[in-house]
Amino acid sequence: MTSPADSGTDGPIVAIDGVSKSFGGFTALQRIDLDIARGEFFSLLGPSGCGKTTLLRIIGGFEDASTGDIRINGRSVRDVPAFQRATNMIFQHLALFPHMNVTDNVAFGLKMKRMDRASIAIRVATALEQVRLKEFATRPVDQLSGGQRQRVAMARALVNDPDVLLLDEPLGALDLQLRLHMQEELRRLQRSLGNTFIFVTHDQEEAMRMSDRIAVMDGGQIRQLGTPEDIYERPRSRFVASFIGHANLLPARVIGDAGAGLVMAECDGIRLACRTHPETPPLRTGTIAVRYEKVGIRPAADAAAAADDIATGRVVERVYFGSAVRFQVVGSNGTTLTAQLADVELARSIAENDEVILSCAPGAAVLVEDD
Amino acid sequence: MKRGRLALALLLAPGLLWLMAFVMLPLGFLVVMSFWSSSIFGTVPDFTLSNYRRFFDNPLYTELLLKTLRIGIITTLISAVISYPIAYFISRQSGWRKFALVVLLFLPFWTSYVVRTFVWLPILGRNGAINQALMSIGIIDQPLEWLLYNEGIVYLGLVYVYTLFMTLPIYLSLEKVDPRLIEAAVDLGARPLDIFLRILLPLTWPGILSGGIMVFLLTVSAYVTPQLLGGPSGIMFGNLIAAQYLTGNNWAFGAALSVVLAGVVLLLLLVTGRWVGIQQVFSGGRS
Repeated sequence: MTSPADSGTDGPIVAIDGVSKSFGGFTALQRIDLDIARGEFFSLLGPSGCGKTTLLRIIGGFEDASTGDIRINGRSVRDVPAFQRATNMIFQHLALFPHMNVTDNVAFGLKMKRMDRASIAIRVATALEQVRLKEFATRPVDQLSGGQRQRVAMARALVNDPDVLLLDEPLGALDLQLRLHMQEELRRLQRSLGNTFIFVTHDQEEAMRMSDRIAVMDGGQIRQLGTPEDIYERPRSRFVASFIGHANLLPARVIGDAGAGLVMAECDGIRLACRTHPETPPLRTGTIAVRYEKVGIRPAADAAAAADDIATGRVVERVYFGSAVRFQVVGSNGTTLTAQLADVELARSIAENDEVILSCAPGAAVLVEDD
Repeated sequence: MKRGRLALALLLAPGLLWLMAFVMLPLGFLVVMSFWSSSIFGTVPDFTLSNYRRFFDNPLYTELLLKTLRIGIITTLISAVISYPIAYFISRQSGWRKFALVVLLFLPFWTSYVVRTFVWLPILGRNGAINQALMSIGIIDQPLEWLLYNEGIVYLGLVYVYTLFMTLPIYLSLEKVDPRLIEAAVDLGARPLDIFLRILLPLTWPGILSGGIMVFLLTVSAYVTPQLLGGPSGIMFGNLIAAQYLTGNNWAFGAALSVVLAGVVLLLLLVTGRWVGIQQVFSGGRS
């Protein structure tokens, strides 16, 4: 973790307090409460239309909240126009100024602050060095590659040393390799600079890889807030379990206590000892979420039964990924389950139409609330 | 390859022929005629510089040319100042409002500019609307004489008739500016004036220039507006040229005056063009 940035105040750097937003009859945000800590890499994650970009734009001052308030550094920004906020945004489409070269783009914010020329030159040079664009200082921005333009946008925002950097899916347009590279670059910058980053994305892998904490949003609400590990390992709701990673989702009823804080749940004869999120109330019915990689699979010929076995079945589809193999299995009770095997050696011995045994360790599955 | 060239030539042919027949030939003829000599018996082929000598010998002609250029420049500047806010306003509208406003922008072109100039006479004339109104409410006893037939009124007429030639290209160039750039500038701390000077003005400069060139060219060659509204004191170079053909019967001198005007305007565009980045007009805003 990064150490908190230098300014003295404690408490959250951004405090979002009951913020709602409606456009005409459409409710984009419903009473969002959220505190973001100083120096945090925070992601707003959700499908398109979930309200994540609207929330980001309200923080940046590009939209007004219909109700509620936002405090940045402890002060309400309700009446602070966008151009005076201690935030800077990296836009989805970058919005580089096409009539300026790299240096002029990066220097823009400092010029607006009426900083003297010498200081501007020093800070721009530092910023360009940070994003590794020093040799491109005098290039027109339309003569840069996608990744370079990305870095200009980063430098243009970061050179102002914003209290909060807002990132609106800035990596969306890049191809996968470049995207992974820029993710690392962003994370590296955030750690070395210590600014607070609020990152909007619909890509759950991206959010997990980069964030200290994630807010999963849907329908204008925060569905779950936590560290990437929390959210992956202990989803609260069916929505979060299905949106993050790949999971088998089985409608289930609770049949008792499995000990060790686990709940025994049952779906079509398959019984699983499930974890729950600490804040989940006692449930009578719900959904069992089992990650594909948490389902074990072995040939039925391996007769030795094990305590973790949950079902037998037949492989109907086998998909090879390189790093893993994914099997779709129809159980003898008719339920379809997917298992993913990272052990490619073992996977080689299982073919389509083979009879298999599926297993799942106690606590590997999570019981979540239905939506 | 050969086929492509033939197709290209065929596609270009109508336009090139048109240009040759109706632009280059008359222009060439004008230049040739400026070396001929005119007398009461008519204009005859010759090779004499006397038409040009006459222009340079009489300082009144040069003064009129300078006055015409000054009117052209000032009219262009006034048009820019009037056009930009209008164009900006329309570009910020949406839906049917924008459509209606753009149609309104074109509306004046539906009538002849002679008619549009004429309508100022019943407004500003001795017995015109303004004088009648002021006299009827007792502010003045005598009709105001200075409303018409002076240089100021020529500006009014020219700006009125030609401003829209500037509004339209500015509007089109404003439409091309990505509104997200303005958002980005605001995010970086830009105030409204910064946005205008550092984002909008440079990005719409080609539109301002092309509109400006249009208004300037139309203005320096104007002769109907100064004739109708300006009276003797509002006369411009165009009136001098027209007089050679229509009343003076001195076509050769008229041709020489035309060549001088065209040459000076071309020179002016070349010189100032370098300074204001005129190549942007032809390269779509990239310098």
